[in-house]
Amino acid sequence: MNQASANAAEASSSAQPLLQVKDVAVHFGGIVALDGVSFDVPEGAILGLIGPNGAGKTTLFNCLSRLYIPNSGDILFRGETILNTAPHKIADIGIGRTFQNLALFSTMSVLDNVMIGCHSRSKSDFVSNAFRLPWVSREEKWLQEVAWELIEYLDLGEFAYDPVGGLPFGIQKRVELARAIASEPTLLLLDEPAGGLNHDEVDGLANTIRQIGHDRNITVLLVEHHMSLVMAVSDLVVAIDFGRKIGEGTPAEVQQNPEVIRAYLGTSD
Amino acid sequence: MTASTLPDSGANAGSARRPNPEESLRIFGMSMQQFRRSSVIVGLLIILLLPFTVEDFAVFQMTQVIYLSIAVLGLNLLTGFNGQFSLGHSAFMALGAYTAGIMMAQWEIAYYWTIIPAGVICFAAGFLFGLPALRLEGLYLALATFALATATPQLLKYEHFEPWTGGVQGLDLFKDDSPIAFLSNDQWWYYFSLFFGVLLFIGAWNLVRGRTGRAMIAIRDNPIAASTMGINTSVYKATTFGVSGFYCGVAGALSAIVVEFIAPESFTIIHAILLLIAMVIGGLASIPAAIIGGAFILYMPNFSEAVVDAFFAGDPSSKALVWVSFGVVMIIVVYIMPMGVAGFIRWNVQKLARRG
Repeated sequence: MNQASANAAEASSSAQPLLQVKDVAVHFGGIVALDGVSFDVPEGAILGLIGPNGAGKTTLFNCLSRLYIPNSGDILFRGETILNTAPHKIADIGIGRTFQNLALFSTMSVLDNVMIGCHSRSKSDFVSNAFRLPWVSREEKWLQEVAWELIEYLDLGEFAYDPVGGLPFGIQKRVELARAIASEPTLLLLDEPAGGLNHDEVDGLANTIRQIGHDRNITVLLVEHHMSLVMAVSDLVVAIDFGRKIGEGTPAEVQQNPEVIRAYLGTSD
Repeated sequence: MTASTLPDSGANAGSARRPNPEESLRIFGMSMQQFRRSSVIVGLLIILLLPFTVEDFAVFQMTQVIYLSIAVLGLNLLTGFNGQFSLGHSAFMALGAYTAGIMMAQWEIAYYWTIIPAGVICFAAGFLFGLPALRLEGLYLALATFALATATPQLLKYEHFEPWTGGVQGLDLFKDDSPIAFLSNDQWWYYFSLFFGVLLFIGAWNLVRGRTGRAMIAIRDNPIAASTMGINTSVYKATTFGVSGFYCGVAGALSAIVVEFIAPESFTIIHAILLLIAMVIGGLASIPAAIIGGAFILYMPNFSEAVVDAFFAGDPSSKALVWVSFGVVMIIVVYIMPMGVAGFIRWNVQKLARRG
């Protein structure tokens, strides 16, 4: 995308944020996981979503990828609700995600995992595959190109043919990232990408996330426990606790927010 | 090859695509690709020439191996590649066999026109069964398919269906002799079945190594992640059930044509379990494994019988020991080759290749 059209796209969408979470509430039986959370994610931003354990962050993510249905509220992507979109159509409209506890296809190679990430961008089906029509071979070649480009982008080349199940945790996390980007999302949801990583890996991850956002024009919504990572990469931070939003703003603002400090450190009284 | 010269770090983005290190191994002085190709060619040559070297009954048995392999392949697409269990695939073979049988016996349609309709009907049946099966997982799906397998022979005996199915008696089928002068009837049925077998094996191979196959395996490995990647898991699972049914339907139709007789008792739950055994012994999620599995369930009972006869000849109760002997062999095979025979072979080939 050239600069002019990028600007045009920005101008046209400046009126509305890429993602709008509106008063979303989720109950599991008597337990209130989310209690009317609202916030916007502007296009091109990296937004960090923070909160103590059990605050409802992953629940919100699962609403965004349509694994849970909110009891009330709405989620708008480019101004349109996604609540009527089937879960497998979410990738089509441009939302990709990673999972907190890894959800890779463990018997398949890194290359195949990333190629599945391109599923929503390709279209050969049972019949055309069974007959291996010429255009299917071309599509397959193209998929491999796309996957290889990402594998090299995330420095996974030496593992490309290994089954992911046997790779170290940190590498698997990167494979998941590659797989998520492979669908060319406009919005990328990262659920605790730093979870289980060592110190060096977290530093590398911060750079990677910023780079992905910048190189590929991807808006990022990041759920993370790792405060220094969130504060380092986020343009905006939203803090939630007990299913409610307790703070919002730039990383510096949120760090000063007494509510947030109380949620994380507790109060003396 | 650049594979061996590339540095381990791989930090330089934009470098040439790495070839698969497994592929750069050599075996018997050949590259892996050459080895695989020559294995397939040698295998095909053996399969093509064997009928001229053995007597007719052996050819008849090999024909049975072909259609059993097709059925096992169908089951493997469903279970091995897509992770859906079925104890009911005898039902799809029955449906295929009866479709062909009724077309031939009641409507006097030539046998070669019955194969595709049998497959198509079984595709539809599989797809329709696959839709409610979406709500069932693992053991529950196994139970539902078990019910299908136990109900089918009873339905075939049902008196109001008798005008078509022939009831308990089954149907005797008549067909023309070999149209080719230098082929005996058994040889002709062999090549006739082989034609469909080769097509279906190529089709399955194309299917599983492409986008569809990746989606099928992804659903098996992690259905939620698969859906997040944009895979419509319901459609894929139901369609895979249909494709699996198609394979079993064609297998059933071939069995009816080759054996020239169909009866409800040919398609009991035992038959479904034998298909399952064939799949596991051959190797899950492997295409050539279906041939090994098909051969296993055809020859193994005879082999067991021969073993029992050798030790207990003349003992009238020795018949019961045949299944014991079958079971013992099965346990040994599973113990020695937990990945099935195909997995065992693949493992040994790789070991040989790594040794250089």
